[in-house]
Amino acid sequence: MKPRLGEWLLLTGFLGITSTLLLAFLWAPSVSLDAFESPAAQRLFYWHVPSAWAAFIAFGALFLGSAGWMFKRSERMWRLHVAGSEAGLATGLMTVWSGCVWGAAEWGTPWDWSDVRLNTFGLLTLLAVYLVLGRNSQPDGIETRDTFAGFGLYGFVLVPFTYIATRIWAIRHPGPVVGTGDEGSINGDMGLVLFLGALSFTALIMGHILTSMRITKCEQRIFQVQQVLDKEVL
Amino acid sequence: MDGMTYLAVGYFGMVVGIGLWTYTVVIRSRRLSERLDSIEAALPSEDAKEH
Amino acid sequence: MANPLLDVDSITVRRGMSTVLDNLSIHVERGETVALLGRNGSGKSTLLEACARLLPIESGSIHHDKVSVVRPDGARSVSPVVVGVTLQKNGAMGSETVQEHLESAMSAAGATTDLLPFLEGFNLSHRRSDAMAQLSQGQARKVAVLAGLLPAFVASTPALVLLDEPSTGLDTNARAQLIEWMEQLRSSGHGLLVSTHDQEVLDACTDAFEIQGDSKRLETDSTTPPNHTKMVSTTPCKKEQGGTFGVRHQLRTQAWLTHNGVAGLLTLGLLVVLGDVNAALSSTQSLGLVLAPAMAIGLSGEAMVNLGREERTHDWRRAVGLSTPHSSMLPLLLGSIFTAMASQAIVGEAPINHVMLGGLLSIGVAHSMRYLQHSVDRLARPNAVFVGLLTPVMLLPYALLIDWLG
Repeated sequence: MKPRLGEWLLLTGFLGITSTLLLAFLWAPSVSLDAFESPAAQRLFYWHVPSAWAAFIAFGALFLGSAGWMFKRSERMWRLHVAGSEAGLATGLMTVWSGCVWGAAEWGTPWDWSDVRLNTFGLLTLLAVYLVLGRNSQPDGIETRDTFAGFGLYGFVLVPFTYIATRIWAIRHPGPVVGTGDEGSINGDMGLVLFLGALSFTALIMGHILTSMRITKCEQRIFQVQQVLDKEVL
Repeated sequence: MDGMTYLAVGYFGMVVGIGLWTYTVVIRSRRLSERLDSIEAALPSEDAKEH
Repeated sequence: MANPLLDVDSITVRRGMSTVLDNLSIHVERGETVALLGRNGSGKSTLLEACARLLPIESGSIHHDKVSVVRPDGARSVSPVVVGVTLQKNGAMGSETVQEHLESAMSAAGATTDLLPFLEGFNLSHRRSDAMAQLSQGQARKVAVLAGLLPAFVASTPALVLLDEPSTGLDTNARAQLIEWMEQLRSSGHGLLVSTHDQEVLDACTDAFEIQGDSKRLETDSTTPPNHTKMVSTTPCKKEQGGTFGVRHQLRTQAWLTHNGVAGLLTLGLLVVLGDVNAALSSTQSLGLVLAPAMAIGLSGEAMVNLGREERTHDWRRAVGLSTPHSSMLPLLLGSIFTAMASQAIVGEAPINHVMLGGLLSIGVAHSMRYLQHSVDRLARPNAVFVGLLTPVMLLPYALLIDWLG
């Protein structure tokens, strides 16, 4: 079977991520002890930040899909909701997990309940867990779709809030290192590896969304065909 | 184990994890496509044409 | 000419993966009894529930006495007419008594009357004080049918009565009594929409409407609508509040203890097991531990939500215009008591501000959880969804509160 676009993106993304991590481990410059408690753990940055970026893409897809279903009753948008929730779950967990490991090493604690950004991101991930598990416990139908698309819409309010939080509340979580407009906000080599990571995660998550939408489309079509065949038998 | 070793193990685990996740998604997509093709072949021709 | 009591205009309703009703229109005038006919799965119950404002519609509109009550954008309004409803499920919790359920139904219409003649009509007078769970299926069904008819009997204006298979499970005498009451209501100017397969009930209707492909009105006994007349003497009463109902049932079933109290007790127990740790804690940490039982009580959620899913009690109450049951101020009381105990155990004293804070925390969290629990009411299997996964949402404000107060 000839690979589709989604599969190519998945493969490209996976290879890119593997390369990023190798570079992060072997090539990216170390940070000084003055700036970080745990310079080794700082290398998690090349995983943590791109996966957070990918999670934002996934939650964006979730929001778009939820809105599209709620207001337009679009089947394609429902598939996007499903794909977004699954991608958000995976990338959200990656971000939270890597953040906890880095936090434990750097701050001495894996979590900080007073940090708004950490907690809103954690809530988004929890929302994704809820949507995926909840949807799998129910038969597909308008009631299921309306209920979970509703959650997807409300949950997305957290996304811009999370992004802004680092600019407004500089608590424990570091502020943004890119896109601040400051000169020399990040070392050139580090930026290169980070950029490669972001690109790779973007490819992976887009590939996942496309493939997941295809899976949902196939499942829906199988359901329709089975109904037709059931009537034939009767 | 020192910090870098932990990091190496962690990275390796993550790569394996993402690899497994990607693999299961691709395999599921392909199996569903094959299943769909085979049951669509069982459809009467008018219903197959509709879609 | 008066507006129709019920005017359904070109509605489309979907359920699950199917479109059950497609561009369907029907109206019920004062003094009409319209029978809904159709094979199983044709959408009779769906139509009744849509008219009772329980289901969203994809297109079209539903009006009660010219007031829009359901719109495709999801907006729903309170009905301007008294609505009596009997669903396929009985709409009553097992812990309700027969009398209580019927009084709830009448309170939705804002009046009460002597129940004895009605109970005697259905041979239920000796069961008046029994819980619904103690009745046979047939007896419970009679109560559900009476609950659908009574609001119209006590209403001071023409009422809309929606009955889904009312004769199912009724014996011959009860069926005859049902038909007699339906005719009394019709001749007094009320409008009835009845889904039925029963030929006797069908014969007693003035009109029939078949839902099947090309839905159509089959026959009309067109007569001038009768003027509304009151059939029984009534006494005005207030609508039953969801809190009143909820507290009564929480106390009766001990749900306050089994659902929320146990969580508070376990948390308190764990804290006591820790021993004398207060000396090692900051004031923030102490406060966090003191308020933990109250938080646990709130996070356990609302017991009435699951209890109300029995026999679709929540849906029935919504349909007749009553509020859904809740525990009202109970969490405030429970939270205060447990905070006092925790404070005494950890800090050695129970300042009133801590006690009040615990109570407020409990009631705020419990009622927030109630809304979360109700958010899955439309699902086919609401109990299969673990709404508890979202409870960490409550931990963040709790942590911020402790941080701020500490």
